[in-house]
Amino acid sequence: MMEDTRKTKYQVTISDQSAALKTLQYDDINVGDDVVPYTRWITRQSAIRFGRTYKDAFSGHINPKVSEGQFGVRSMPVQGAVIEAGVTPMIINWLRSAKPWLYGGRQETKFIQIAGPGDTLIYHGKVIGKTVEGDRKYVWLDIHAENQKGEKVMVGKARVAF
Amino acid sequence: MPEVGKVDLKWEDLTPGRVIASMTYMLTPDDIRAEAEAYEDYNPIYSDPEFAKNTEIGFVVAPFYITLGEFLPPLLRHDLKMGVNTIYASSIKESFMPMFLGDVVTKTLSIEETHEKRGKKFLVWRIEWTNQNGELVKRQIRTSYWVGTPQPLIKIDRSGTQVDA
Repeated sequence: MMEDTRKTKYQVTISDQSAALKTLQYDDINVGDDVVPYTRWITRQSAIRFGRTYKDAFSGHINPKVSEGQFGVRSMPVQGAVIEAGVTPMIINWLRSAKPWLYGGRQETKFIQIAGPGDTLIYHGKVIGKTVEGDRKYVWLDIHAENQKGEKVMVGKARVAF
Repeated sequence: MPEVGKVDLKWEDLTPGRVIASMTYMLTPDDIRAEAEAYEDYNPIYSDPEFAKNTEIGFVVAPFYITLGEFLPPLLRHDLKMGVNTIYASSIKESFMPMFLGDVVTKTLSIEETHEKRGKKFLVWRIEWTNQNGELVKRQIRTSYWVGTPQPLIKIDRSGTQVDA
């Protein structure tokens, strides 16, 4: 029997059962597991939309003239915050829950090179450790994002908590 | 981050422990929507109460990466400009508990430290978020490469409108 479905305001179709999908728990995760990769396309709109959240209408992220002075290139690199934010949907899609990410999640990020409009970023994660501290259980991951040329744009580590 | 204000942040003024700005917000659906849309992240847990109530958390929450618009307004009040002086190099972000709709969140930006490495200057910011109960909900230690004020400089007025190219 078909489940009832509806569209969210973003026209994403979800079913009544969507939120209740089985979530990954600490014991379901093993060292060496790969996280399902997450892909995002960087467009000029990516920088403009994020810039709007802090009223940026003039920085080098969205203005080529300023970009040259600010970053040494006219290509308007997207904000680092936009690049690092791709880790969140990757982690939440993998766990099928936001809880281990929002209650004790940690993300360490280092930017290797710029990304800009036209780039495709693919986010990867691999489980590198599991620890128990008191009543909290942690899963540690190596994370990185690479561009369409296979070059690393961002590297780091992440931690989720159970 | 954009250039704001009229007074340049000087490297010499960046004393560890100095609080640069503090802002208090009541978290609204629009705050969450604006950033989730900015990141093209359409997970309904950020916008759909019906969906959210069936999740492990049970409520609409703010995403891990939410910034609430950086620090433009308080910097403007202090006539400081910030952002074009720096390039974001690395960060450590931690979320201790979610931020929910209606939470009153205070976000504080301070100088954690400054250092020089291989002839380059680095500035480390500490950004902490507490809720209406005084609980630390989020922390970011953000390292930026200090480049000073670049050229060409675009001038803006206090509303953020470009007045001279």
